[in-house]
Amino acid sequence: MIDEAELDHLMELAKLKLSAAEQEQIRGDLNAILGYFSALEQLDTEGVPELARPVELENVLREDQPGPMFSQEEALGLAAAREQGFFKVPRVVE
Amino acid sequence: MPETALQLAARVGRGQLGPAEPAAQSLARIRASDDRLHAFLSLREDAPERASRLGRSAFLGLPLAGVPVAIKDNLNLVGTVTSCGSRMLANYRSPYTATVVERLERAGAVVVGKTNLDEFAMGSSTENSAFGATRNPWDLGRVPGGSSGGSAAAVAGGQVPLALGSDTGGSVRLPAAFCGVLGFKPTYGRLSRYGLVAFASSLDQVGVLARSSADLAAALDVMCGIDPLDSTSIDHPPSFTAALDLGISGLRVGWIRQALRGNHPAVERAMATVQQVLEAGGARFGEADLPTLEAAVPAYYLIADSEASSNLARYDGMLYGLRSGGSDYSAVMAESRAEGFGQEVKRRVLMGTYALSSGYYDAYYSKAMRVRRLIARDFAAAFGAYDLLLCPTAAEPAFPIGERSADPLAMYRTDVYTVGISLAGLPALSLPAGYAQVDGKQLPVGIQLIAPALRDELILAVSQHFERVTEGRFFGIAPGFA
Repeated sequence: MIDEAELDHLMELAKLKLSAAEQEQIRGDLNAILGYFSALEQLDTEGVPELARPVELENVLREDQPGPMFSQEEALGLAAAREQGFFKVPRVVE
Repeated sequence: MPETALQLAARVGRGQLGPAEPAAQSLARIRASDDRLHAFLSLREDAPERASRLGRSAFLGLPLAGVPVAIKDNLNLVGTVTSCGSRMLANYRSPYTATVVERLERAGAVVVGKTNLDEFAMGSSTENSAFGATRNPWDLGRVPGGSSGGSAAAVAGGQVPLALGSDTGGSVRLPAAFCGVLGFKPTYGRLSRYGLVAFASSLDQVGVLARSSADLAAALDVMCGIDPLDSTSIDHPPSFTAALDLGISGLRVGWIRQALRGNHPAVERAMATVQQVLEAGGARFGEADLPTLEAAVPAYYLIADSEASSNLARYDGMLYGLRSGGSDYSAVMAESRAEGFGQEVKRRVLMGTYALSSGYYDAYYSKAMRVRRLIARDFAAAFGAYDLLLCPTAAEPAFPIGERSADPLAMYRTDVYTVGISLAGLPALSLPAGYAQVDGKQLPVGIQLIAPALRDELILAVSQHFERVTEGRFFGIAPGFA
């Protein structure tokens, strides 16, 4: 059950600000969905290993050789704000 | 356009038709019909000119010479806006091209536009797009399915013969069923995900929508194979085109028992049609029991939401995408995301955050991954007895626009037959196999063909057999768009 305090915590973790009306709506939705998800509790998964991805994979390594990459101009072309060849972002460290 | 991709490619590839012609015709059809369908978010108006510039000789002998294709707007193509149906990326212009798109272009295909989708591919109806819903060409009052609804409507509406979508939990197969076209999701890893905007990385696969099995095979043949830019891509693809003629004699086919009840009568008739056609071709039928499949929907949504909450953390208003919220970095993040994301994306990000958060991880995310293992085991056991498994793509034909958009659970349950296959990473095709008559309209229904991992080509053999025997009568363009 997600109460108001829990939703505040989730909004902080997810860096997502909701309006008061949205909070009420989404909290109701999330609790209804969680109720539905509780069906999983019925299944016995004792000793069953997790399956994180459907195919067994091994890590793939390659030689660390430079290849084609974006130019500075291409990378900055998407920036919300830029200054002197850098991404301009709000102050992070006080 | 009524021609198949391969019919067009044959003429352009032999120099009998200019390489710009099919793209020009396709764009004309889109302009004439897209105010009704809203399948496209953006058009590549200069597509014919680009093809002309390359010159006739550049297309000679290419497998998809001059074929107009549409791609879902979560696939990058350099220079085009890749919005993912989100305000967050409304102005995001791709600086690079997805591997699958690059391979299609290298085979002669010409991208004519980017198609509508549920925001970040999260949805089953294409109503969740920030830029308005797509409509089903068979009944404009109904949804095309989602999330690749724009691609499915474009193929069913005769705008293009071939389109790419993406399928995380059914997003190619469901719209294919609702729109009456073929929709194929390969084995996880068959197609490179490089350049596909990530939603849930352990589930996402690129998929193909078409109106003929041979077109599907041709597109897969040029796109499959290892990609150094996607470490989950798999090498040594089969020849899908060669597999079309494998035949089906002696094939052991199992209906998934958990999907036999509660289906619309038209879906039941389609099931009977498929069985009849395949049996006449020498296949043998039985039933397969996959008890854990009943838990597929909750397991899928927990895993997909968890992965999404992590993948979508990149949209922070800093390097690209929407920025809002003034001068405090924390407020910029929170407000950019509040303004940039729609309701369903917010719901899923919060649900995923909850499932991964301290104290709940074991009960939700970890539990769902264990159930995922059980589902994969159920499939593996069933494939001990059967070569191919079958079940409907959806229990019903397309539903009316607005019917489920305020009820997330009703929307999630639409995916009941597709998500388990995604959890197991298996290849599956939605085969158009019949029609329902609803409110005076003809609505297509689809049946899924499911193969073991890496046996994708088997599905094409069956699809081709069905298409040949039924003379393609379930594979057509929607009435009113021919």
